Amino acid sequence: MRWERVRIVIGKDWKGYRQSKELIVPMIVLPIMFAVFLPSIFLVPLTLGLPIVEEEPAPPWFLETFPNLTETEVFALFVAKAMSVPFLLFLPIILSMAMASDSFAGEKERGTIEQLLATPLTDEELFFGKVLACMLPSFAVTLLSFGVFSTIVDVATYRTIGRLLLPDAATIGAALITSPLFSLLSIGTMVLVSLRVRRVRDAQQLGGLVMLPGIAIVLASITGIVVLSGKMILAVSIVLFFVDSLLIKASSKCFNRDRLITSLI
Amino acid sequence: MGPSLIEAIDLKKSFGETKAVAGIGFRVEEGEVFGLLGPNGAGKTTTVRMLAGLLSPDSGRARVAGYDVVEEPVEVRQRIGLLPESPAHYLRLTALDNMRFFAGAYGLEAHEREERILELLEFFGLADVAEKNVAEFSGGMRQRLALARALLHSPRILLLDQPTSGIDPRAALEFRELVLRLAREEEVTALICTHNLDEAQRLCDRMGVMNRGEVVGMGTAEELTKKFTRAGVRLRLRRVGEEVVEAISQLPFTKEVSVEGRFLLVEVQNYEENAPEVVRTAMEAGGEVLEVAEAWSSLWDVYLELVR
Repeated sequence: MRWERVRIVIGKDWKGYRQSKELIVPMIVLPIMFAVFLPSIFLVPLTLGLPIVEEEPAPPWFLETFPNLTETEVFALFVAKAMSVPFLLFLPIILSMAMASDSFAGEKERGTIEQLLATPLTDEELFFGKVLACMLPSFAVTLLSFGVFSTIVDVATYRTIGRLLLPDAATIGAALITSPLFSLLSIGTMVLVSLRVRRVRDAQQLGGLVMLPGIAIVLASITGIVVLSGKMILAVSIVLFFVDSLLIKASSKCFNRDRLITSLI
Repeated sequence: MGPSLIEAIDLKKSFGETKAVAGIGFRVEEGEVFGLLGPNGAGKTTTVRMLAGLLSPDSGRARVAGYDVVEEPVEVRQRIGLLPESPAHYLRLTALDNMRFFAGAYGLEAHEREERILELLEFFGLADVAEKNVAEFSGGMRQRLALARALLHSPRILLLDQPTSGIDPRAALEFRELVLRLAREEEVTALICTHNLDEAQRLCDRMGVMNRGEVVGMGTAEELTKKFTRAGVRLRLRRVGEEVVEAISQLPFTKEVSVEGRFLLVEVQNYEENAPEVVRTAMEAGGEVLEVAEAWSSLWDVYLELVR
């Protein structure tokens, strides 16, 4: 694979994305929602000292970690911490969903696919160019947003617990290893879906299914069913690494120029 | 003329039950301009797509620039300039950015890229609008940009599907001159699909006429006309009466008589020998002859006959 040519595909797609309000607006609005609005909901009771109604503000192990705090303080801390890993896994996917759906289905809709396939770019160069064009900006925005999220959480909680809550080892691992691996899996799958369908709308509908595992992780984390510890992050990352390897192998089989051109006839 | 740069051997391609290309074969020599003529659905575009390595043939073989289109498609695509039937552009990008992307995709070195792009945009009269989004371009401008794009990497082989459709006559003329200059001076080989017989005659050294997925005639315009022409008399009458048709049908040298409006088409054995007798017979049967001409004598007639 010639990375210079992968870079050319990425550059071309980015120029197109920058001109599209449908793709740019979610890249601005969603990070603000995730990084500023959501933590504020949980941290406002803490900063104002308001009582909470939950009978069990956090799982027992979390309560044991902070035995001297009030229920309001424990609840706010737990939610902030429980949200951080799903934030890192879920945000890049929803940020890139519109771009990934557009990757090949958009080329088909706009009639540019034949000219693109007629270039000497290999299947791998095209596939990775399309995947990275979606993945890199969403990953960068996610890291930036998580920086903002961590800062807000730390500023709001430092007075209560006397130390920085975020980032910790688990979130650093999730940000730098698990999140890109999970993004590669989700975006790669969405790009493959986009390759198979004819219209962007179809790709978006089918691609929405890819978000279900992300939604499950968010719900499981926030409700305390699953707590993503450092060990679990490592285990998940190893599994993702192997699944991603399978996806990359599958992508070369799914990428069939013959079928792509035939679908246009 | 040099070695064959495009070679198709018994190429076949079906889509479901439809035979798009039903076993065609031809060779195009280096520096030759070869035309593929035929009506819509004849299989021209499918043939071009197979030659460009975009579609795999069901059977048969094709080599372009010495590379097998199935085994070495990337090598093939690197060496051809393809203008598809419906060229499209990235409308959100400028003409310059469109060209830059394709220049990169074809592996042009950075230092030669800008110079080559500007040279082509200048040639096709698009230099002034290079920084404009292609969405603002007219149909003709988009077609010229597509032609510029096909020539970007100075390919030795051009596959052009309806290259002058949608551009004005002056631009079409300039484009034809460009293709001829590339073929004559730089030995660029071109395969052109067209409906335009005038264009084919002006541009192509040889041509193949396709119909229903088969090549039904091949050669130079002269060869095709000579090979497929039939001796015939075309009469324009004030009124085509049954008595005139009947009388001409009875002549010993008449092979076939058909009526097209006020025209009577009579296939004979020899135009020069038989035409006077046909005219005399028509007049004796009460027909008023307004015009007499030789039928089936042009490439247009041959084409219509072949694709009937």
